[in-house]
Amino acid sequence: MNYQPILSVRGLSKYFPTGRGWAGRTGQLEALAGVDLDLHPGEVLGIVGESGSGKTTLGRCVLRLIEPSSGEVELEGSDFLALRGRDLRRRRKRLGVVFQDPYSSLNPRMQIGRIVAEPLRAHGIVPGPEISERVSELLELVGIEPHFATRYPHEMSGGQRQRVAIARALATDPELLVADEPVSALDVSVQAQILNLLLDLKREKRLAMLFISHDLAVVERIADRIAVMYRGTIVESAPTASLIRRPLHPYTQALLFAVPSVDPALRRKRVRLRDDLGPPGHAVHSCPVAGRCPIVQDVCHTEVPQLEEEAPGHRVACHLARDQTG
Amino acid sequence: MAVGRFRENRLALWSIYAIAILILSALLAPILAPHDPVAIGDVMATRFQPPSWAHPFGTDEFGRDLFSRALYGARISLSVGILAMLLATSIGSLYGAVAGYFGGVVDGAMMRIVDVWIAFPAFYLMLLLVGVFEASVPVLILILALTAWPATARFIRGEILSLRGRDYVEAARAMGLPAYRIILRHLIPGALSPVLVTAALTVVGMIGAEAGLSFLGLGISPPTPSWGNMVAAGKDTLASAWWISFFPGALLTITLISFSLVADGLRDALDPKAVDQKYV
Amino acid sequence: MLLSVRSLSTRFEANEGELWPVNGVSFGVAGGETLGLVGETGSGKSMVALSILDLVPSPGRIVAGEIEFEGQDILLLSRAEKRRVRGGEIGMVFQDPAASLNPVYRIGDQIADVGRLHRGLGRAEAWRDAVHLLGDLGLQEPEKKARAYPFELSGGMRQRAQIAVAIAGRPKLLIADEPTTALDATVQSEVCDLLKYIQGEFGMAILLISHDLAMVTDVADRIMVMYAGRIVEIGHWTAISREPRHPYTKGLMAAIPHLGAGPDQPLGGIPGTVPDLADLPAGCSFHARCPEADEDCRAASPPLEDVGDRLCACYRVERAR
Repeated sequence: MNYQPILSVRGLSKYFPTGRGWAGRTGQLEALAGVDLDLHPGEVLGIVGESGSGKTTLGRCVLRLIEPSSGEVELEGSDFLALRGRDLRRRRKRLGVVFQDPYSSLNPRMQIGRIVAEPLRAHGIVPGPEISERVSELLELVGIEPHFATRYPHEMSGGQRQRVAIARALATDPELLVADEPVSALDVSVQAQILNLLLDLKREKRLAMLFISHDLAVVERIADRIAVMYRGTIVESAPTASLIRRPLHPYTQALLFAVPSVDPALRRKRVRLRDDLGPPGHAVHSCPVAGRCPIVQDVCHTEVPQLEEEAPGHRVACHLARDQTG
Repeated sequence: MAVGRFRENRLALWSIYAIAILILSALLAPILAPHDPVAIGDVMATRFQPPSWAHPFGTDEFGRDLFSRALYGARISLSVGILAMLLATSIGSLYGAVAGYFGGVVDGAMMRIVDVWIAFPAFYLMLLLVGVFEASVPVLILILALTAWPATARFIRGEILSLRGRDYVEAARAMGLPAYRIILRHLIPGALSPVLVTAALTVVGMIGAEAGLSFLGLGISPPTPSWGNMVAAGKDTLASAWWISFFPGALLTITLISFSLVADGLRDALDPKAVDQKYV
Repeated sequence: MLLSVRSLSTRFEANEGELWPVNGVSFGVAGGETLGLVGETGSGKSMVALSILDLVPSPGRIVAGEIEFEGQDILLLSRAEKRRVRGGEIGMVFQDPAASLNPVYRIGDQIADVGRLHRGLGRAEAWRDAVHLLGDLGLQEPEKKARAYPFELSGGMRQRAQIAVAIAGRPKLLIADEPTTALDATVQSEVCDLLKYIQGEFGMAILLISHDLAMVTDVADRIMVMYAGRIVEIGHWTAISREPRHPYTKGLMAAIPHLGAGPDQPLGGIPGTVPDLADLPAGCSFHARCPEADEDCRAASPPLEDVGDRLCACYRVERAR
């Protein structure tokens, strides 16, 4: 792909001060440690990781809900981090966001119609009299009957609320949707509906998405490429099929094998990780996975592996990945 | 939804009725009162009369009708309490909201001031202030409000802080909504219920504090009646003329309990989170 | 049968009226088997677990049915006997280990307490058993972990510790309610393995409750699917996973994303939403979301019937037989 990426992230890092320790010590937690990624128009990039991987921090830094400590975020070729005040607000029109919990992402005191209309009014996208018409369109787009516009969030189910949240995210016709665990809080049967809705949107609107999830099987359905995160770094990134069929990083392999299957032939055999977490945060001189890696060797404790291209578009940060491919 | 839950709370509902009756009686005192609350007539003939049809609450040492005095006392006690609450709640909420919304250094500095203010025992502060200034009704209201706003400020700041972290406020920021819109649409409506709850609790503190000061002779001074100084007036003759202290004391108790129950009811109906506040 | 639940009904009185989270449920758990109980929000699966321990929270109440454990009806036991059963005869593992472990006691003490209470072990003996259990459940340096407080352990280790507490009384039945839901995927699979292991090692029966059909399929011998307070299908795990027959189970199965399906593949699934217990449709609770529903389904609720290799509550399945 040689056209300009819609989102380009370079060396993005975020440190959180880790409160007061014993005797007043303060430390730092490196939630994001130098993440690079590119997202092209119409492309869906899946970010997969477990708790503490930094995937949510990544999403929030890209949206500037959290200010990154260092690094660059370019949105459609221009520096997003440099924007302030009104310019920042205008630019945010190009971004949509969907959070995990549809119970807390909608203001309980506002009617559905007003929730969806809010970005339209704030950005003056649609002239006043046409707002309700546009709201109806948006609700229909996400599979909610327009007469629900007068209802309050608590009168709707979790799946319906998540649809409303998606309608709100689409109101400004964004180029990029950041979806942070958009289906994790939902019942299985509803999860499928919402995932299918996002798939439709991807196809019909050619919407680029940063799709963040802990569930590799969910991400596989929708992502064109997947980046696997562990402790603030990307350990492997590849086109979806390549990553699922030929995972190179031991951590990715473990994640893949951890997905339970209903296929009786596959009562699973799996790659085990050791339950030895070590101190949280990013290790300075060793591979972040070294403490849990089943094939760890001496070099892993002394050198940080860099992301290197092992196959076309397939990058992995592991000293031992090449041995595995061979 | 909240109204329904509040209605289900019998005690809170009864308390609302009690408060309504008290406020109504205070407003209608000139009509309802059978006698002049301050005028002194034939002292020897009318003094120390126990409750009767002519004097439902009895008479005091100057022969004044205590029922009439209690009605006029309600005007003072309730208006001082409610006005002080309004002042304290407005200042406190605004202060807390500003600190909570801006956060960071602003929040740190503003809250340290509150901490220092709260660390100073409120009742001694009141004693000090009424000692320095002449205790007229407006001055008393001001003094009471000055001691009460920091608690409200701290509480509201916490609420705003937690509201700011809600996903729907984050989503509003991510959508590029201007700050005034986020405050107007999302933060203020969200903070309204905790403000109501603290307001009801603050009334309790304010009325109690006014009564306490007046009892000590530092608040509303006789002959103007307030429940506090009426209770004080009967304290020496408690054995022989119990009614002098009893009725204003009972009214005070009913009022305080009623407002407390309303606060409890509001808290349960609006927000399950516990409010922890202490006055005096 | 170790545990026989017969026609169990649990009722809640709410503002909206009466709710029946458990509505005439009958099933059994044999000694040493794992029964997986699958359902979504409002299916009543957790209420079944609480009913078995007679711990239904107020304003809920068990209004009908028998819960026979080792030949005794639990509901008829005295308070003291119920306490002996809970923790001693039936262990319980919850979703969130952080909430069920006491943060101010050492892990080892919490495990040893159960051993002393329910097995009459001495102090030293109970502690040794606790350390032994932790090692058995795959914790490195069990001595050290026993002396640790819950906050000093990772999520996965805490869940192991919670399981150790649950089995320290050597119960004959372990009820695990969403034991893996709060855990990371890699840790989830370890806890699943652990459940299989303790079942073999201690020969206890497990009632595994989860919303995750795939996870249950991985662990259970038999699978029971609940919807809106009723059992809709129950059978051997191979039968259910190879060929689900109740339309709800089919939909649930189709809704699970399988790895290797490739990108842009829509999932199957079930239209509509899980119904509100306060507002259940007449007839079969599932008919409004069911692609196969007809007049019969709208008219009456189908009974749970033997359809050959399983029990199924669906008029359409019966006809297909």
